[in-house]
Parts: sequence; C-alpha cells; structure tokens
Amino acid sequence: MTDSSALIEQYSNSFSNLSESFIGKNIEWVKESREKAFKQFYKDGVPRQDVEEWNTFSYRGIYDNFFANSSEQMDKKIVDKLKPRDKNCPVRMVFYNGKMVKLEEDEPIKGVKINSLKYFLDNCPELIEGKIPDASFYSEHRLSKVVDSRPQGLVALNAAFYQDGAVILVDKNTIVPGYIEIIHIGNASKISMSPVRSVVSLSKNSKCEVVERIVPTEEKTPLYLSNHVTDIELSRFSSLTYLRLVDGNASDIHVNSIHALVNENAELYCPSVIKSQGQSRIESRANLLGIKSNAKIDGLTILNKESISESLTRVMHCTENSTSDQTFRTILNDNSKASFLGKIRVEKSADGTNAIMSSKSLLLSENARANAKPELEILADDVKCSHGVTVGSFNPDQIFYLRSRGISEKNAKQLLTNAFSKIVIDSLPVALSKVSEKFIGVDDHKLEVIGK
Amino acid sequence: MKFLLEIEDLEVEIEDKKILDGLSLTLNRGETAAIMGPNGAGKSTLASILAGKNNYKSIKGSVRYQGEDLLKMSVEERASKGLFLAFQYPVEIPGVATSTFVRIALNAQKKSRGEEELDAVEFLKLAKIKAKELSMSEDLFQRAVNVGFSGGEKKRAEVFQMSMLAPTLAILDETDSGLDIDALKIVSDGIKKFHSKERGILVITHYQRLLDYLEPDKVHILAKGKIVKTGDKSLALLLEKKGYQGIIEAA
Repeated sequence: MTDSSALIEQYSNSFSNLSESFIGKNIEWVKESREKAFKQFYKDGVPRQDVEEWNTFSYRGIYDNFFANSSEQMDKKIVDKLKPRDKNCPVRMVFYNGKMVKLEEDEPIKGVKINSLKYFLDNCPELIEGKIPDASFYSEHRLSKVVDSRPQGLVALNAAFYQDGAVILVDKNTIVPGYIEIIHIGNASKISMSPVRSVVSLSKNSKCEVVERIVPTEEKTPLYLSNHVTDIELSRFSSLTYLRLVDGNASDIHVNSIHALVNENAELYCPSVIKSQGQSRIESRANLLGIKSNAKIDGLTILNKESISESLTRVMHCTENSTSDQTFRTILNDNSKASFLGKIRVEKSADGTNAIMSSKSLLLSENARANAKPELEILADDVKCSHGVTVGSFNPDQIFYLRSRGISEKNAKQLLTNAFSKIVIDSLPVALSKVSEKFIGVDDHKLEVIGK
Repeated sequence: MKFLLEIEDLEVEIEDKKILDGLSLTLNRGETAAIMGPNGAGKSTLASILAGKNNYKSIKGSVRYQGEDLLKMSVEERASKGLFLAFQYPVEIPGVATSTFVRIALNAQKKSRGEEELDAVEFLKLAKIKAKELSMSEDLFQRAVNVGFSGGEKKRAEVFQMSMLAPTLAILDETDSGLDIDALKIVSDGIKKFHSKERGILVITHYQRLLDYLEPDKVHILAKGKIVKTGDKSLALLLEKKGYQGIIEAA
C-alpha cells in the first residue's frame, strides 16, 4: 500500500514535468484551467468510500497506484487489426492510449467539424473556448447547499492531465448522416492512464449520432485507467444520441463522465452498454436548461467474473416543461457487482417536469450483488416524477410457462435474459441497435449465450 | 386397449394440505372429456401437475401418458411428447414477441423429436393460417407474450399456441373464463377443429356453455381431490340444475 500523500506528490511532479508538453500549453485559458484542476485534485485526491457517490464498493487498484500519463508509441499492427468501418459510419476516430492516431472519413461532411482536441487547440482554439468548463463546474450540489468537489476527483485529474480528445462541432440545420464512431485502444507495459477530454457541440436544429467504443486493452497491459470526460452542448431544437460501448479486461478501469447542457426543445439520448470484465464507472449528467428539453439516459450492464460497474446519473430539471427518462437494466453473473446511483432534481422554477427512472437488476448467481439508490429531489410543485427499482432472480412462473411449451430450462433462462435487456436495445435507432446487439452478442433465434 | 392418459390413485400434497386425494381418471385417444367441480376441488392443481409443476410437498400414485410414466418426465419433455396445457392465467413475458416465443417452442419440440425445424417463412405462413382460424389479429405476433393482452386475447393466444404446437393431449384449464359469447364460439370452434381421433382433450370448466359447443364424450365431477362421478354430457346439465352439492351428496 502506497501512502496517499506520496501518491499525490507523484502526480504533482508529473504535472510539472509534463507542463511543457501538454496540448494547448501556450493558450492562457487552457493553462489556467489545467492549473485550477490540478489544485482541486491535489486537495481532493482520488475519491474514496467516505465520499457518498463512491461508497458502494471499493474500486480495486485505483487508490494505491500512481497512474502516469501513457506515453508509449503506437503499435501500427494493433491499429490495423481493427475491423473496417460499418457502412453506416462515415467518420471514425481512432485513439491509442488517449491520443488520436487516425481520422478515417469518406469525405468531409458539410457543416461538421471533426478532429482531435489537439488539432483544435493547435489550429483554432477559439472554436472551443468556453466549451471545456473548469472541473469545479462538476461539483455535487447537495440539498444542504454544500457544494462538494470531492466526488469529481477523477474529473479534476482528467482536466489537469488530458492529452487529447475528440471534438465534434455541428453547424445549424445540419443532419449528420449515419453515426460517428470514436474507438479507444489501450496498450501499455506499465501502470498508466489515458485522460481523454472531448467536446460535442450541436448548433440549432442539428442532429448527430455518436458511438464511443472502449475496447479491451492489449494483452499484458497492467492496470490501465482510461478516464474520459465529454462536455456536450445542445442548442435549441438539436438532437444528440451518444452511445457508449464499454468493454475491458480484468485489469482495465474505465471512468466515463458526460456532462450535457440541453437547451430549449433539444434532446439528449445517452445510452450505454457495458460488458467490461474489469471495473467501470459511467456517469451521465444532464442539465435541462430550456423549456421542453429532454434527456433520455439508459444503461445495459452485463457482467461476469469479478467485474464491477457503477452507473451514476444526475438529471437536473432547471426550467419548465422538461422531460427525462432513465431506464437501466443489469444482468449479473458469477461474483460481479453493479450499482446504480440515479438522481432526478427538479428545481423550484421547473413546474411541468415529467421525469421517470427505472432500474432493474437480474441476479444470475448467488454471489452477484446489485445496489441501487434512486433519489428524487423535488423543489417545484407541479411535477410528475417516478422511480422504480427491482433486484431479483428469474420468475419461476415465467420459467414454468416457457418450459411447458417445450423450451429447455437453459434456453428459457436465456430467452428471459435477452428479453430483460431488450428494452434498452430496442429504444436505439436501428443502426445503433444492431451495433449494440453485435457488441453483446444477442440473437433470440439462436439463443446464443450472453454474459458468459 | 391402451389409454392416452391413465391416472391412478393420485395423491398430491401442497404445503401440508392434501389437494388431490386418490384421483383416478382415464382418457382415450379421440376423446373429449370435461372436468367440472367446485372451487378449490383441485382441478387446476391436477392440470399443473400433469404439465410438470413440482410445487408439491409429496406425490403418490401413477400417471401414465402413452404408456410411459409421466411423472418421471421433465416439463419440456412432456411438451415435446405432445402434452399441452392451456393456462388458466397465461403468464406475461415482457420483451419476447409472441411469434418468436411460439417459433422457439415449436422448433425446440421438433428438434427433440428429431423432426426438421421450420424456418421463419414457413413458420409465418403456418401462423397466419392458424391466427385466421381463430380470428386472432396478426398484430399479436409482434406483441410481447401476453403483455397488455385483454382476458379474451390471452385465452385466444393459448388456443393459438395449442394449434401451432399440435399436441396429442391438450388440457384446457378454464379456457372459457373471461371470454365473451362471440369469443367463446370462436375458441370452441378452434378446439373442435383441433380435435381428431389421434388426440385427447381434457377441458376444465365451471360452465355448461363451453360444453354445449364442445359436446364432450365424458363429464367427470372432481370434488375434494377425487373424481366423485363420471357420466356423459347430460351430467353437466344435471349439474346445472342440482348444483355441485346435490351431485356430490348423491354420489
């Protein structure tokens, strides 16, 4: 066990050593924001179980190791191994240890600017100025009026150390065809991290679908922390689908935070599908700022072995007549553990809010554990808000019914497991539901085993 | 002569309560028999035990189906060997489309019998014919199994499954309850069409009306866990007049 103050000093040294090589090092606002973020991280450190949002279980390896920014050179063979792009995907960005190494596109899409954060900071930083908020912006605002920055220790770490990211800027009235894919590959020989900072900004009346895919790190990669933060801004009447597909090895830790500002009549749809064998934490924050804005945040988590995964949502209804919908489904095998920390907050000014939240967990083993903490903080009067949480195993009546029709017990369980996850997959646009089904490997007709 | 179903001295205890107490019953191929009886007599328990439910504390006696020991077979084995139970309360399966469910079931049965499985096109063709016979909307194919179905739709879907799976022994547990008069007619027609000299049908019901349509060969009265009286369809009419109490006391 390494002493935590010694670890912080290692991060501190690393921060000063890297300061000359950081992207945007000559841009005042970038520099200032990094320094502020590092100060916050220096003060708060990696959040531990005494922080409410991190108290469900103890993440392995994250507290007692120093994660250095990975600096290893790209192995072209690994990048070349990637399957070619789907025909519905006109643009793909490939990241290697947190830095973009390849931008594949059929031809530039009119009205869309896509490139790495490094490219933007080197060439046109003015386009993203103001779109990367300070880490303190993410602080937890508790009902007691306390503003707590501690839960965001890893966001602060990201904001201090980010090396690159994806930037997608969509002009007004532009509908991006197909979906944009962002793939993250990790390959390191020592314990390391890849802080990735991304920006997605949609102008008025535009529409875009994005898939962020985390692939398992290469063999022999030791503890690897991929720490992604994405800032999203949706202008009036725009619509974004942002799908996260998270896979990983036992030694992979993936922390992914999205923060979205959703303006009048804009729609955010933010599903995630997680099947990592390692540890993952998926955070989704949506601030519904404009009237009739909408956020849909879904999650499907399928775990086995010793894997753990936590999904956190914070949906803030800030003004009148906004709507939100959260649907989470979790399937747990073996010794896996999952947790859902969902919150809907309805501000005093947000009459006419309609918000629902549901989290269901299916335990397929006696040793699997599911935790769910739904929270509603309602300060307005005229509000429709509901939540439902269940944790359980198979319903014996359903199993008997299926078997009484000739379906074997094993296939009956498989069918019910697939059905359980379907509600999340079926909401997706067709191309993305196909991508997701392929990702988890579901096929009702063949009844292939999922999660095992 | 070999019976299709032969139940001898069946005793079933569930949660310290004897539900079936020395029940004996035979059913021939080509025969339609009705089981009637007061509430709590053990009718539904009999149906579910035959289908393979093992929620009992103890079971005694013997049940032979096509000459084999039925109680030794798994639930799915019974189904594959042609035993079908239309549930009194069909179970909802969210997330599984009715057509997907029936196709998986049908092909699982075919596979276990060593028959060739149906592909999606062949299946749909058959399903459309059967649905039409039952005046069942094809919309139900895509809807999740029994989810949001009305009482009538659920019962009709059970009979639809029965005609798709083409069992040898069909046990219909109060399939007439929850049906309006028109639906009852359609469902009875479906059951009659299903009837053949190779098949046996066991109908559990409370009401005379279904039997008016089906014209059973035999009517058994089940009370206090055993068959107390067996007769032809006129027994059902007598029952209507005298009530269970009258018949049971006379027996």
